[in-house]
Amino acid sequence: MGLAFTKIWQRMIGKQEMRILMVGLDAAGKTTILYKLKLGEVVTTIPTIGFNVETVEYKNLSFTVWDVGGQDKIRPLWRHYYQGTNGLIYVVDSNDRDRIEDAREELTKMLNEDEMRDAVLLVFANKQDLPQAMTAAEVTEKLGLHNLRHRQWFIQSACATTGDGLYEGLDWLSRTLSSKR
Amino acid sequence: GLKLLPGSVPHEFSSRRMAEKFRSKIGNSYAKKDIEDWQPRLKAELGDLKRVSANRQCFDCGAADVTWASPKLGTFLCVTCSDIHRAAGAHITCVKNFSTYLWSPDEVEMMRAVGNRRAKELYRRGASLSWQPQDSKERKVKLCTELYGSEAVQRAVQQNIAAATASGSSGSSGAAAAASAAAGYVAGADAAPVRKTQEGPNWLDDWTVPTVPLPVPTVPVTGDLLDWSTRSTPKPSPVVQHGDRQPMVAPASKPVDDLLDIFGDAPLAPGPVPSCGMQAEREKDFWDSAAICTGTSADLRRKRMKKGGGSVMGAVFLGFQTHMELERSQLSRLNDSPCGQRLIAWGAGDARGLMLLYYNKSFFWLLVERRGSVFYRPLAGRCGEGANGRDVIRCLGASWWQALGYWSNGGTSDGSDFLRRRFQALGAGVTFSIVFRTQLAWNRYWEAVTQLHFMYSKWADAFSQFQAFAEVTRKAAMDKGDQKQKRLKVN
Repeated sequence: MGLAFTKIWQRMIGKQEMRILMVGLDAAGKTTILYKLKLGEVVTTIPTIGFNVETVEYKNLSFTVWDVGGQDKIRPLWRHYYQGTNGLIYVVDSNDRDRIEDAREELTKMLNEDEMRDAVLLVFANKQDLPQAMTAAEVTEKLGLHNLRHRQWFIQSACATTGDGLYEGLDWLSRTLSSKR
Repeated sequence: GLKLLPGSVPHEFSSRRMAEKFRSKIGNSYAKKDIEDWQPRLKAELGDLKRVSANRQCFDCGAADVTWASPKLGTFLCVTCSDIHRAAGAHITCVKNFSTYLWSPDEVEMMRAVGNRRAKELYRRGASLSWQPQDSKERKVKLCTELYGSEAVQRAVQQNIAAATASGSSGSSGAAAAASAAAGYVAGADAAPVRKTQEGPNWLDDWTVPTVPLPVPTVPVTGDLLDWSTRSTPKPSPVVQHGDRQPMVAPASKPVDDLLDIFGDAPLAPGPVPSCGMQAEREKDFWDSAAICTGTSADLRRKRMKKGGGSVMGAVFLGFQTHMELERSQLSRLNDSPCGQRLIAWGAGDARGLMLLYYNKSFFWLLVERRGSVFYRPLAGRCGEGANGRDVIRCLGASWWQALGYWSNGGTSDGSDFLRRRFQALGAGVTFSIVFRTQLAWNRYWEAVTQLHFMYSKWADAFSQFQAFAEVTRKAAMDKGDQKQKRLKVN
């Protein structure tokens, strides 16, 4: 009974909780993005072994963002985080042309998982401040996003160190996830 | 019927795995399976390279920590400088560590061919450091970009990569071995003992490679204090060795699918926030830690929790309780197990809410639960005179019937005076609450009844007033013959 009231109450005024998984190849800038969103500053990160998790409040949503390390040996662990994920943030190093192909493979592999069927996809084309960075359009093409079927996706060019583009991405995420409910 | 060609099934079965590619950071592709198979040998070779004297210090800042490397530049780095290299961008440099990354023959070859000694000539023309350890990060990144981003350095890098690619990927699994044999290493593929090139303790080695148990290092660590691998005491290796290392003994090439493989030997790596592997942790391990926290048998607790259908309230209680327990006296016990450490980190972090997933119990039982209830816990914690943590635990560890027994027979057993007084206080409190609340409710009921009667009389009053008014008006209309008011009669 009390539980039911709590639920209704939360539904009315509380923040909706969303589980967001943030992945990407190593050194793409995931941890930097997470702490830029959470703390508003650029922290000195050491490569993530395991994961970081923070709650980021934005608009009417409360995002629980799981930032999982992207190193070779840790990537197989991503699948442990799939369950119950509402949104996927895929971070790409736009400056790393050599490995964009790897990024595409990992993304495809992940989106094919059954547990990720309903998750919406936000791609951050990160590190736009570096010279020769690929544009969002270029990243879209190289990741093959246009071929995605039955998937709501959005790509946002971003620069984690300055914070450019991060909130635009979250904006889309909050709009999409609220309308989905 | 369907005909299967002999041998086709295993092929199909393994095709996906075989098809997986591994791309090294200097641009060469391998089959992932090969790379995984070669790991023990490649890691052993890297371990040997790290013991070369020039490679024992970070190339850029001189810290005595070489847990990272830049395969593109061929230099050995500390964890702090690895952050600088990542910030500089993948077009200039890239970094890998020796534990959570897979290495490929061409990268290892690059590390062997360049190394810190040659890199000094190649990239810095003999200058001793790239930057000072105490420089700000912005300055370091700027210096890094200028130094390694220059055309001369990038040209040298490209040449080295081409050379390393030629010798690293010329053949197959034998390439690296051949390369190292040429360099004087004996890194045989089948557990051939590696020639010992090491004088001091091998404490810089990463934990995926088995090492002989060595005394705790006395080497001063001037590197990054965050590097946990230097602080963990070496664990005894399952393999009995006499001086020499056998690189192929441990199953280090096993693909990692469990967090335990990553966290198994080392305590949690401190990051900007506590990060932990609880989510994918093995269930049993977790429960055991929970049991350490709360002092309950893990099996019992597990059984209880699986009963119901998921009560958020119960979860909150357990979370609260676990947190309280952690704040108490048992941190030292928890510190003994890596999982427990993770639990501490977890309880302290912002993600505490995420822990509340499993406690299923009816609300009523939460009230009388001897450990989960918040009701008498504060009481138990505060009312004891000179009670230490052990007394509290003992009290909470006693079951209800024991407690009542102590209470009723005047408390003759050990520590029972303390216990009895506590339960007396509880009983008095509960009794008082019940009487007080009942009285209050009774009063309110009568107040409500009075109000109701009052309202009833008011309504009756209003009705009679209206009736009287209507009667009078009708009469007046009849008398006056007022047409308009006569309608009242009709109505």
